[in-house]
Amino acid sequence: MSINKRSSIVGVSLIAASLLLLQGCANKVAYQDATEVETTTIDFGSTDLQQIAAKMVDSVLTFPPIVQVTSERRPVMFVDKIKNKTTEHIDTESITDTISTRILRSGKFRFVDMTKVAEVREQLAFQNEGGMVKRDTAAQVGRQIGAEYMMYGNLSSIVKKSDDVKDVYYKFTLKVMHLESGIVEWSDEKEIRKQREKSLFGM
Amino acid sequence: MKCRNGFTRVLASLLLMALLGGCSTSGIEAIGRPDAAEVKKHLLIHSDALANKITISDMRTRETAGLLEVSLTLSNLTSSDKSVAYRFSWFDADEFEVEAGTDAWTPVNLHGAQSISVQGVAPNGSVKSYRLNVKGQ
Repeated sequence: MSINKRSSIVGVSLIAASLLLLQGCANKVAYQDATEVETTTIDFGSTDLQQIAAKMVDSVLTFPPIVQVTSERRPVMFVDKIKNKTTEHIDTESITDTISTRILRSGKFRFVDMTKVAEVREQLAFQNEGGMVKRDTAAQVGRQIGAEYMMYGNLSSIVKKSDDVKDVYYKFTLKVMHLESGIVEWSDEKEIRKQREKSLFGM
Repeated sequence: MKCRNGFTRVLASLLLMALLGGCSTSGIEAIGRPDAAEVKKHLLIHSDALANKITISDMRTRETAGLLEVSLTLSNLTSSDKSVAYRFSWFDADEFEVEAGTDAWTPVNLHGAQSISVQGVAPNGSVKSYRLNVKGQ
């Protein structure tokens, strides 16, 4: 076999080997069901958020004193921040967004969005004082509806670790207060406990 | 004569026991057969491996503040543990799915022959019927 022929065979083999290696390292992206049970890590995840939201919405909508109020009218509520008392970084606004969206879509409550007050004020000023909007089409200032109820709560956790096991317990508490009287009309909790065990070879 | 009376009594007891045995139900019948029409209507099992191994019973509904509320019993018919996930699907009067894909799968570990209570509340007042979806984790 000539030297040229041998070196070309070696070259082709090298290219084929590198192609195989590169293929082995390639990333694979696939869409998944957003409502699927997710257990990638023990940290707070989408399944925890969805379970908390489902429990809270079902509970508030079927609590007898709340049922009595919502069967006659659609009270206005505002959502306060959920205190994150865990050691993890958790976007608690995302939990309240899911809860308030589901409650709103049930047709039982209406909401005022306190995160948009500055933008609404700016728009009302533009319509009423800017001189660019027809007077009879401008939204009037001072006509907004005040919230009757406030929703608030907190998320706490207890984490315990040993060499082989990590145990995380989450407790989400949510309350609805009648603003005028200061009475807490409804409250409920959702507990979640997850455990991660190291496999035999620590993988 | 005494002997004949004793024989008659034993025969009567055996007959009674046979009759009572005929009236009793097996465990599955008491829970609700997976192939029963009412179970088929409200239960959809997404995994072949779980077919005829998981069933529902005691399906009850009521309306709370105009929302359909469902309560049922989810049972493991086998003697081994089953890790399953369930979620409700909700349908309006025209059998259109309401708020499709918003209910999340809830994981649950069912021990051998264990039954648990499962409850759900419809997302809005247009819901008229429901289905429980079950699959393996």
